Amino acid sequence: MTLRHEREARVALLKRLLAPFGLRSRDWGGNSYVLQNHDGRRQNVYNLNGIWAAVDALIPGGCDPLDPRFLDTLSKAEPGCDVPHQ
Amino acid sequence: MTSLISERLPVFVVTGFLGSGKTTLLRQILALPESSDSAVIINELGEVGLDHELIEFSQDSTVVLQGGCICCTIRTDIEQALNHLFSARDAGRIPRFKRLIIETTGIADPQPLIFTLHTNPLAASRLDRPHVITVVDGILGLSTLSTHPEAMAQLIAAHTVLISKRDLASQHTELFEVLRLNPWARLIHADLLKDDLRSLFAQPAAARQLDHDVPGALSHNAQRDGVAREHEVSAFCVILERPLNWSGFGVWMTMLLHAHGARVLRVKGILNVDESPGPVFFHCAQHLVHPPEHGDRWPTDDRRSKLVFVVQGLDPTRIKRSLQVFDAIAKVATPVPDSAGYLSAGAGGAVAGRPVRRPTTPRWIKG
Repeated sequence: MTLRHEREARVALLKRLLAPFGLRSRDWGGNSYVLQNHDGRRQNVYNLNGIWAAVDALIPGGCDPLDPRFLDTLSKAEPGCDVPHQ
Repeated sequence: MTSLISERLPVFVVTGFLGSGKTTLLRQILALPESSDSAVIINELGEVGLDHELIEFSQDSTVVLQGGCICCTIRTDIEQALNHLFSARDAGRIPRFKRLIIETTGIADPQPLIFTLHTNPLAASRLDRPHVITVVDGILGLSTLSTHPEAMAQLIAAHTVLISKRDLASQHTELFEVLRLNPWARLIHADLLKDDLRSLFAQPAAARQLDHDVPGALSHNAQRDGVAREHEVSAFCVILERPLNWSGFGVWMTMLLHAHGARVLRVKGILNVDESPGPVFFHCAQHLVHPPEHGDRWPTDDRRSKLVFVVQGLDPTRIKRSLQVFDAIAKVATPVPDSAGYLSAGAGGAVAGRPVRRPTTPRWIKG
């Protein structure tokens, strides 16, 4: 896998992860990311840590990867990705 | 000149709570003839005299990195000491020391120091990866670990745990159980005044091998039904049957550390990654993520991914489910073929609320 393919795969994954928050992520020029909310407000960030900080700023309460509701939403949105509670 | 910059000196961090025996250990080691090629950085004034090779610290000034947290601070005093030591060494003002020993204060969380040793350009280019030796009081250690979070941080950071005062106390069953919250650490029970402990400071390469001993940590955890708890600190192992998607793991780990970094004390793993022929070793401590290492071959026939977590107040089942969900989604998330996921360089965006536009390549360069 080339660096570009890996980056594209990362952007595709981010798109699915951020959709429940009403956010859209796009790759900008191959070396940064642009986050956009419903209002059209854009935030340019340079790495994954920056994305989560920007999401915290755009969404009250931020995002928690361990939140069961967030995981349920992700699982239901993608067929075949449902991981039951243990 | 080449030899000056190509060598990487072993560095040992000696930590432990007040009165545990750090200075006794250091005195014993520095009294040996072979320690004459050591440089020592020590926090407290006048504990060990080592002439001009001794650097003393009385201040603990810290600078918080932008966007970092309290565990990701830079120890500027250590940086200054390293600059001083290496400039004196390179100029020939002090003997060419071949290893560095740093003793922390008894109430210090060693993480900022380790962070500094990984991020400081001088340390990163001249020093090997730090090996942390934590001295635990054989008599008072149990109560210290239960009442002082700094003592627990010292334990979690350790590569080697040295239980002192063997001559004064012999029963340590409960203490050993607590010490196993750091499943990677080598446990040594010693009488600091009598035992020969020079091997502790002799083989950093062998100690590094322990870094990759995830199966060993796993087997020990299994003997304790997977989870041990002490003051909300738990150690557990997550095993994944299918190969991991690397993009999914990276995104998940950054998100986890952003949300819970201060409570993810340590993670070590041997990962079976999609399209990778050998194992990938992963290691992080709080927000400090080490570059992953690619192994040539698997240590056993077991090719499953295994991640050992030491966390504080986080639910192991949630962590496992979260990783599985992210991995499953990453496996089906195909890159967007059209321009929907891609903005051209000249599209414009915003940095800190200000509109910016990345300059496009001039026509005369494009040709």
